[in-house]
Amino acid sequence: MTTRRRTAASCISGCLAAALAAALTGCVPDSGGVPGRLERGLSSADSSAQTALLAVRQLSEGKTTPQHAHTAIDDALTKLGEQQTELASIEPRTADERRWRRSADDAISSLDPALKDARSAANGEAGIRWSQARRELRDASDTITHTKREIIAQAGEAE
Amino acid sequence: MSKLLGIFLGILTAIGGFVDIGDLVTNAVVGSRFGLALAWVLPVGVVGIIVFAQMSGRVAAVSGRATFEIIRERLGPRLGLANLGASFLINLLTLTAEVGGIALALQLASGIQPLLWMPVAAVAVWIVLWRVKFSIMENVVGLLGLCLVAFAVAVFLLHPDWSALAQKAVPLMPSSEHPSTYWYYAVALFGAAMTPYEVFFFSSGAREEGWTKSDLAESRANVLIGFPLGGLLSLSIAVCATLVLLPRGIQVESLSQVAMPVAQAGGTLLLIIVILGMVAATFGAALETALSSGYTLAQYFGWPWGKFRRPSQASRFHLVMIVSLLIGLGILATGVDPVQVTEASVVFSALALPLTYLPILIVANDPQYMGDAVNGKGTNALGLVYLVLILAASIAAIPLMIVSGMGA
Repeated sequence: MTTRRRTAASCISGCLAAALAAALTGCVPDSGGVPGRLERGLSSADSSAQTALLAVRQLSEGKTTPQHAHTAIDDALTKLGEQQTELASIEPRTADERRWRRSADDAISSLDPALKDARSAANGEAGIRWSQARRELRDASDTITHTKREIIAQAGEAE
Repeated sequence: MSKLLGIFLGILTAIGGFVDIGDLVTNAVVGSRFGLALAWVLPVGVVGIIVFAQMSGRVAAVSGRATFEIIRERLGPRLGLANLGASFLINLLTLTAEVGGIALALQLASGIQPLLWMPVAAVAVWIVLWRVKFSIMENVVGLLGLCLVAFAVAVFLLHPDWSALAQKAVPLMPSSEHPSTYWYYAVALFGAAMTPYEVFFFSSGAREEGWTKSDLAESRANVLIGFPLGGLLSLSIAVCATLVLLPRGIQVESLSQVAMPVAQAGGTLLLIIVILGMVAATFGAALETALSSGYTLAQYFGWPWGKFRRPSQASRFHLVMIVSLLIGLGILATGVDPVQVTEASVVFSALALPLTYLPILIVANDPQYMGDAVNGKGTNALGLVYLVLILAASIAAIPLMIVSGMGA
């Protein structure tokens, strides 16, 4: 193998290894700036809320097993934790961005107790009814959707 | 009669063995985000894997040798080594995703954390590789994988509006998604359908089962009937996600979400069947990818290989599988999300596709190995068309991954 080929081969394998490492550690650049990242975070949080809502509904209607419902709610909680970490890593540069990040943070935080209550309801713990868990999840989802719409609208106006 | 039964069994196991963790996750992710706007990629991928699996099976049956044995001889040790390196790494990543997939599927059944299931899954894979005969292993997991038909059953139980569903299958980019995200998932779906290990396993499996020219008809039936039906199973996963998850704004990020439409449609019984199918599909794919690790390395270096030999007669082949499983387990032990590993594995599969499929096309056209069984004009034309597609997907994979933020 010539030196040039060897250099090209090591360049390609180096790039591949770097891309793989970046993919697995989640260090891939995001598009859309701060509003884009907030919007994606809120969409993901709403997806967690809807997942838990569906899991609770399916469990209360006897359509799923407790193990599956618990796993779905636990996964939603894990994803929410990841979203909160992601949100914390966003560095706003303008006053608008700071305000949007705060309202996104508040909206996402409102989902955390709702998901925990949903898990308690799925576990059959005393004090939490299906209807209460569903209502809390719906309220949190509404708050998240509302916040997302506001950020999209205000970011659009700011442009 | 026994020949017919053999063909029937082969087709069933081809269907049941078609879907793996990459197909489960990617189809559900795509269905929940794009509806059926990317459904067109599935037939493209299925036809591609049919063309090349059929080709590699024929090479093995006619030449009496598996893919990597010939690749090294035909391309030379240096180019063969580049090919081996890329194929082995992608295979290792896929094996890691499959072992993680078994653990996630077992979590759905038990509620126990996947980290606890991962070593159990890896040991179970190793025991089967060590002790169970190839044909039994292939048939049992393939038939159990048929439980995934529950996805197709769920589609009917959900009583969709078929005409509205057909309208959603138009390949239009949703306005809410960036074009780079659309094409990123198109490449991922293509990579999931054409995963390289399927070809290594298919050609080496032909040697394990001692195929000759007389078995070519059976091999063709497996591929031409079994793979498209397996592709329909993949499509039904996407349709389930489109019907249940998309309207609720649920973006698939975990295996528990993939099973939700089935529970919605058929209740607990259908859910249990689909979880059994998920365990079987990921377990079967973990066996195939672990074997493929051993096959690729042993065939390149000329070591004795195959489950038709006793482990003591193919010790290095078995050692490679054990080490690969341990590396996969090590990656999973870092706490990385198996679903994320799966998403990375299908995209990187797309990247490595030319290295797998170009040599097969070259060897299948070489009369020195194939005699009068070289590719016909039609097969070559299709092979070349697919080579262009594969190259395009391979070149686009990493830029799309970066621009779309891994499909974020």
